[in-house]
Amino acid sequence: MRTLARACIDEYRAILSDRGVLFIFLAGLIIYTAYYPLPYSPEVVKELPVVPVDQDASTLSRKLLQWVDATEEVRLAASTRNVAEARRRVVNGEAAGFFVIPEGFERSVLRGEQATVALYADACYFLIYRQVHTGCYKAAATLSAGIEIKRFTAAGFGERHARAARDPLPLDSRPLFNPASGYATYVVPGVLMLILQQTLLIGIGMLGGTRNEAFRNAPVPPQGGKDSYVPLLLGRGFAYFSIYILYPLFYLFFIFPLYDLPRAGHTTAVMVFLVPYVLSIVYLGFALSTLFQYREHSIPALIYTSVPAVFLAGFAWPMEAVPTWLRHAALLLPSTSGVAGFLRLNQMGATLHEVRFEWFVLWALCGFYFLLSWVCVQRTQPFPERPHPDLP
Amino acid sequence: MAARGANEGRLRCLYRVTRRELHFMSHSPFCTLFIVVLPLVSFAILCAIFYVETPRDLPIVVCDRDGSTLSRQLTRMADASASMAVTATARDMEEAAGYVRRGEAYAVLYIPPRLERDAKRGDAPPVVAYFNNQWLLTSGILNRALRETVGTLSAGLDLRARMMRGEDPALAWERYEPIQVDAHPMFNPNLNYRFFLLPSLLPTLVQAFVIMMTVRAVGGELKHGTAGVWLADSGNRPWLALLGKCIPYTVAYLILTNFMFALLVRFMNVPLHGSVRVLFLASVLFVLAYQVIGVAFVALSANLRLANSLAGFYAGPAFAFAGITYPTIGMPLFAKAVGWALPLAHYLHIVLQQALRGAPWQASAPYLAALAAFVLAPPILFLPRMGRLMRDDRYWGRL
Repeated sequence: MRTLARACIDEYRAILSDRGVLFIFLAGLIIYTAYYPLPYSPEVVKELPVVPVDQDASTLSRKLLQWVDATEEVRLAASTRNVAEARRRVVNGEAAGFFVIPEGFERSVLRGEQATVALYADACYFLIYRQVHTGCYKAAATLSAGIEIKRFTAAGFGERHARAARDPLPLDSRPLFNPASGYATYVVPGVLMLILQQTLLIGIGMLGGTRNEAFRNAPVPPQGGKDSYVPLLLGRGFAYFSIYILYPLFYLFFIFPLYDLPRAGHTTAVMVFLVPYVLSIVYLGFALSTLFQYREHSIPALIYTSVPAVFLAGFAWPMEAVPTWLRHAALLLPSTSGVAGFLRLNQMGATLHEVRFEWFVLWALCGFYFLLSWVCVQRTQPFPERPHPDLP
Repeated sequence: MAARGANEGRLRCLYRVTRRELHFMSHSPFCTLFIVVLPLVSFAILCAIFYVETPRDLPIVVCDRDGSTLSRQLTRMADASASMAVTATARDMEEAAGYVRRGEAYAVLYIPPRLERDAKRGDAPPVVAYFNNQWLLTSGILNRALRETVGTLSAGLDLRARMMRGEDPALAWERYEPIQVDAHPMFNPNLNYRFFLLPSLLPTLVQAFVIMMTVRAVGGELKHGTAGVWLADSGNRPWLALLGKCIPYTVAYLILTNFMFALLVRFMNVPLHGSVRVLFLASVLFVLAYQVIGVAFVALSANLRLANSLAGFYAGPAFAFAGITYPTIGMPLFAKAVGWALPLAHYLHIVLQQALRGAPWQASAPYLAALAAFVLAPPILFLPRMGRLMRDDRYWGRL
């Protein structure tokens, strides 16, 4: 017990006296978390420029273009009658797409035939394509429905029946959660959990690397016994755990309101869920840190793993599309289960019972990484009595 | 020691500095890890993640309150769609919502009671699709797929009703939906996520490797107190010392970017419609730009630890600011400015322009110029200070 308390206090001291680690921990708390969501803060992209190519130049074509311009997704850019010119503008990135209304458009509609308009939109950037498509489609569908209902009414149907006859099986799409289709709401909650993981791993890796350097250079090996590793790891682990378990609270009560992100979960349930998340990261960090020969190895190693980790966390890209072997391997990262469970609890209002699978996986990871770090620390730092002899 | 090489030719000195670095690299497992192993492993992982071009068979749950021939037909059609698979049926909405909260389904298709009867009477009961919009990407795919499925069924019913009213079948078909939008996704006709995400994510990894290795290579000399030997080898010319040190990494990472494009085009079938030369030039500038910025961070901080943190902070969140998944046009001004200050953003625009769009080189010229500015401008500012750091041993051995 005394070893445990001393290891914990020593670790607090080591963290506080290391400016690099303090910087990373502060970055994980506020710098990254306030900076990263910035690009997404408007949530949706509006008023993308679309070039109208009106070859019909009729009353109806102008009406359609007005409808297009009126949507919030797109606005009309300077018009042209030349398709090649419109295409050139999209290739050069001056417009997001172009909308061709062919000659004879109005005549076809008046005759009761089907008229086709063509939308060419930039699919290099998916969000742009999605917005342009939604905007133009909405405008055409509205105009189309109006025309059709007029036809049915002319044929003697009542308005309600006209609507029903037009579309006998309508589909009503309702979003569950994130009703505004906000991009920040989609990305930021998951990324916050990843920032927590990566900064904690970097910080632990920096101190671990420093320790490894110190042990290699230590003139006289300090004495120690094998039995004290468990309290040592528990004590050190508690130091990091006690700091990082506060981070989610800060995210929930500061970053979420700052970017107006919606929440549906109970704070208590979220925090209960996150206990094994933080703990498993701490022990993963201990195990990893024994790999870093120098303190400067930890940042590069962990900066680069953040990209694959984001796409294996299942929020930006569905796990169903990931090969099975990789999906299983990804369970070794605390973020895979941690992010999935956190999002369902906090964004979708799931109960702890509904995320129990993820919770158990995280506890299993805690156990696994505790054992792993116990083995690794013994091999690389065989003198637990003096955890860091060369540090002030 | 310091005088050694002062009178020697520049090329000889350059050769000596480079040879020293190559010797160091070949004895450092960390270098092998960061130049060969980790890039290949991370490329492989990302390629595996995005190997499917668009997600298929996303699980949805059907809540069928009707239980009629029509509702079963709708369920079958939804299951048959390539994008989704009906993995569960629920008795009521509460049960269905449970599937969504447990993460077992991305959407609920709610079929209201008496659907078939009301549809026959022309009473238009709405079929409701509840999407888990927290997963924005999957909800977009499912929205499109469900709209198509229900639309096809609805059009069939509409057509049947019209023919029963005695309209000519050909005419009846035409009258459905008087204005049709024919959508053409330009440059990526199948809306393939692989084509769009892989060519932007792999360079994001490369920039992190380049800047981190540069900081370590240059900052390490200060930390380990070997800057004097290094400078002496260059004949006391800081610019030459830096150049000789960076060349091996420039070459290594250029090989890596070329390998990256070979991987993308040959094995991942990413189209390459534009100019290979423009891409190559952009890659050279891209690697050099990150090396220059890495050196600038070391010069600025005179401290490996801080330079490392700065570089991590610079390169870590870069993808969010690059304007690929969330376009630059929708960002607030400050985020746009951050994007402009990242060579990655300019490089990725060139990559997408040349690979997918087949844009003329003139369209890429502004971005190339921006990359060139990153390579040329900072050295003027940091070279004098870097020289001072290399000479003055007070800056050495700092953690």
